[in-house]
Amino acid sequence: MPIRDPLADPFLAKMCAALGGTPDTWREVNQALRDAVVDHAIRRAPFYRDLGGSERPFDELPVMTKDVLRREGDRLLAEGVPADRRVELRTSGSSGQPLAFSRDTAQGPMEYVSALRFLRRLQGLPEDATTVWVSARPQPEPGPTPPGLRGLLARLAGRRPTPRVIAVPTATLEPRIVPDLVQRWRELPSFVLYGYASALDWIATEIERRGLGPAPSPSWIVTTGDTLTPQAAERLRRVLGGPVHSWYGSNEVNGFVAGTLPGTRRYVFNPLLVHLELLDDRDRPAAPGEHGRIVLTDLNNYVMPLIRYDTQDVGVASTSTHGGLPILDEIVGRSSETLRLPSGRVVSPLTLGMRLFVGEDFVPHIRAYQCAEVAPNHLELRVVWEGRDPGPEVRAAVVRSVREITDPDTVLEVVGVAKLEVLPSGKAWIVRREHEG
Amino acid sequence: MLLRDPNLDALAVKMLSALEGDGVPWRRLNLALRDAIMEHAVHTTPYYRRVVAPGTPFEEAPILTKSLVRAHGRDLLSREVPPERRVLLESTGSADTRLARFCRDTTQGPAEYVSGQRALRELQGIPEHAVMVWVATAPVADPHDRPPRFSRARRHRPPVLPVSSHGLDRAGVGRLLRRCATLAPYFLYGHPSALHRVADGAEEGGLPVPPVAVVGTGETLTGDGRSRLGRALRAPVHSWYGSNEVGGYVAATLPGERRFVFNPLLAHVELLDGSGRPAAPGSRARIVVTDLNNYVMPFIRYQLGDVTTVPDPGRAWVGGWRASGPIVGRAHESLRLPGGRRLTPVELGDLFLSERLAAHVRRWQCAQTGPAEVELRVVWEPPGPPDEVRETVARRLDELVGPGASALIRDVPELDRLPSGKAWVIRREDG
Repeated sequence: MPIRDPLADPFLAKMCAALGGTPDTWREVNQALRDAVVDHAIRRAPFYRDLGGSERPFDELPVMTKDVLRREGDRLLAEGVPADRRVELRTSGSSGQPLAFSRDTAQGPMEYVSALRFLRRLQGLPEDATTVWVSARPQPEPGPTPPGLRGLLARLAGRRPTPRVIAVPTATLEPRIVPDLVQRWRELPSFVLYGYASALDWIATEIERRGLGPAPSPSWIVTTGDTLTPQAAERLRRVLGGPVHSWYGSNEVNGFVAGTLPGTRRYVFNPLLVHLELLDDRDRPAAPGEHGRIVLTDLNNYVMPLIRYDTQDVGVASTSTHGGLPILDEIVGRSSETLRLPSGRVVSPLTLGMRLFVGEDFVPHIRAYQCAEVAPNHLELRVVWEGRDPGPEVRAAVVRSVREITDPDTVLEVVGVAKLEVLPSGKAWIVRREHEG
Repeated sequence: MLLRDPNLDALAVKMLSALEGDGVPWRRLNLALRDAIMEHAVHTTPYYRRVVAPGTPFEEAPILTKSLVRAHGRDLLSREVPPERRVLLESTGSADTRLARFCRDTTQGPAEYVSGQRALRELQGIPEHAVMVWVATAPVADPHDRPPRFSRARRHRPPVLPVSSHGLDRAGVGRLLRRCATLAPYFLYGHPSALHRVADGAEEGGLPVPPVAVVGTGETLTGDGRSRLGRALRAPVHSWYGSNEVGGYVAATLPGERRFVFNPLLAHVELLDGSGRPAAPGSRARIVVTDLNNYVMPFIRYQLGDVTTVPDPGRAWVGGWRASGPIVGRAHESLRLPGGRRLTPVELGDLFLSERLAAHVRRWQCAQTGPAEVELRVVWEPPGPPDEVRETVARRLDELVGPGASALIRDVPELDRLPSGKAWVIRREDG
């Protein structure tokens, strides 16, 4: 890939060079950065120092879970880094209890400039398009006012510059605001629709349901934050028309760690931001094609080094790379959003979505769904039907279809609901366990 | 060392962290970044595609010289990086009168001017908010500095105060030092020959507020020159090292030492002997640098033309920063005497390293006027040296040139300068 931007920064230049490079070369860069932050952690962070021995191989260091982070937060802070370098943050708590952690002010430009630009470049997003940001706490950003007399005249005439970012908080998403949103988007020269997959899907559903078309077509649609199901991806494409991409990251590490390769569901990970591992239940590398937990080492947080941090997300291991960048074949959702049946089969938003909307076509009948394991090996599929309940025949067909991805003795029920349950963060869960067993 | 500044960027944090511990991961990162840019060069530039076969070990890639840059400039440009990333520059030509055109990468700007310079300041204890008073032939202001208008302009502290050394007379130095007093804290940065003029002014007209540091760059800073600057300007004296081609903040002296350390995130450095092999500890070596951040025109194994000594193994690294001995001058700034003996600016400067002698010497240059004849031209402090000082210098100079060569001391009113405004320290005049 040509390295285009004349104002690109040195990290972005390297990220782009890695894209055109070879795996061995950039794996070595990635591992050296990883070992440097581990070295720093062992010298300065009491938690890692007390583990003893800087000679310990990286893959024998303990996996950092959210529980350990909650318990050991203070001892994870690196000594000798002044407190004013700390940015104290909390996660939204969408996946469980809230979590406090610290990041490094030095990471700011790297994340919000280099990493963001890299993903935009990877997926061909225009630098100058307005971003419509749909999430729990989006930050609006006004557009630049023309300098000098032109700016003054524009202000006097009441002309406002095109905003850089339009914020749409998920808390405000009600059916009655959708026509206004659509009207506002029509006035934009070009825009990128960016936000929680479930929220964007909800907007697309409302546009379609209320017949608000032709909907304004965003130049690009980028989902993040929760799992993009095949059904949602298909609906976004159908209703809004733009190419659909996903970005992956986490509050604790970095919001722009990976992105989908255009036209695929495969994620490439940025080798200058994180060291990626995909681990099985026994913390060993997952075999190609197998599911595993995504475990990340942040290469740039020297305030609170997060080494082998278990994101609780689940991906599918790949042997391939894209240039010098590692790949996951899929990210199937949070580990709390995957159900493991007695045989070891995994039910996830992706496997369900692929079954219902790619393997078969229930699009005319199912608007949205959630799947809860209400007792061991007992699944309840809660469905918002498209219009009226389609009757026992379609319900039976849905059960037959889902049976393909479950164990033969799994109890399956289909229940009609008026709307989906949403988490306090505004994200919607898709699959979860609702029993203690 | 604390990782201090809340405004530090991710690169500067890494550079400082690399100074700590045994530095092994940082040495690995330096090698990995070196291999990454080599791979980029071999895949995307016609020159390296031609001269480096795939799989060639880095150490077997050809040394790049200024002559090769002149001859193959266009073929050294990466075909994968768009032209708008190119910054076209020319070398100053002070060391070699023929100009060489080359390109740097816009993305190097922040790495060099922000991260690289911050790391050197932190290393040498120069505060982030100290104003850089840059005394050189063609200094430039910080392009991002926007001084306020009207009366507030007088109170403005620019990050860089550019001061041209052309025509910097004693009155001008006096005005400069009074202006510096209003900017404190500040540090003086520039060619040693220009800094000496400021030191002269400070000795004669007084120094209202001393700088927090004096940083020499661009010319060889000799031991006696360092002592004199420190004494006259009442500040620690450091050196920063680099070049137009690979950036000005590649290396610096360690505080209180004459050893240089090289930033592992800016450059991969090799200290090579005359046959291109790693030079042995204690011996002289050419400095050969690979720029880790220029993806527009990769400079792989670029011979800067400077000479240093190789430190003993125990002193060869400071964390992940590679150390060299004092940089004794450019390769052409050494004189070859009968019997293979070489004279360098640093050795000659060390002649005057005693309070008793240094107090009488303002400046000097050394020319080789014949195969076995050396002339030391000295600007003495008025009213001139006592006979015993002159005799001591003559005796030490004789010892330095050794048997078979003759040395002469000649008094001069001022030094000869190059067209660039820099003062040469040592050169051949025997044709």
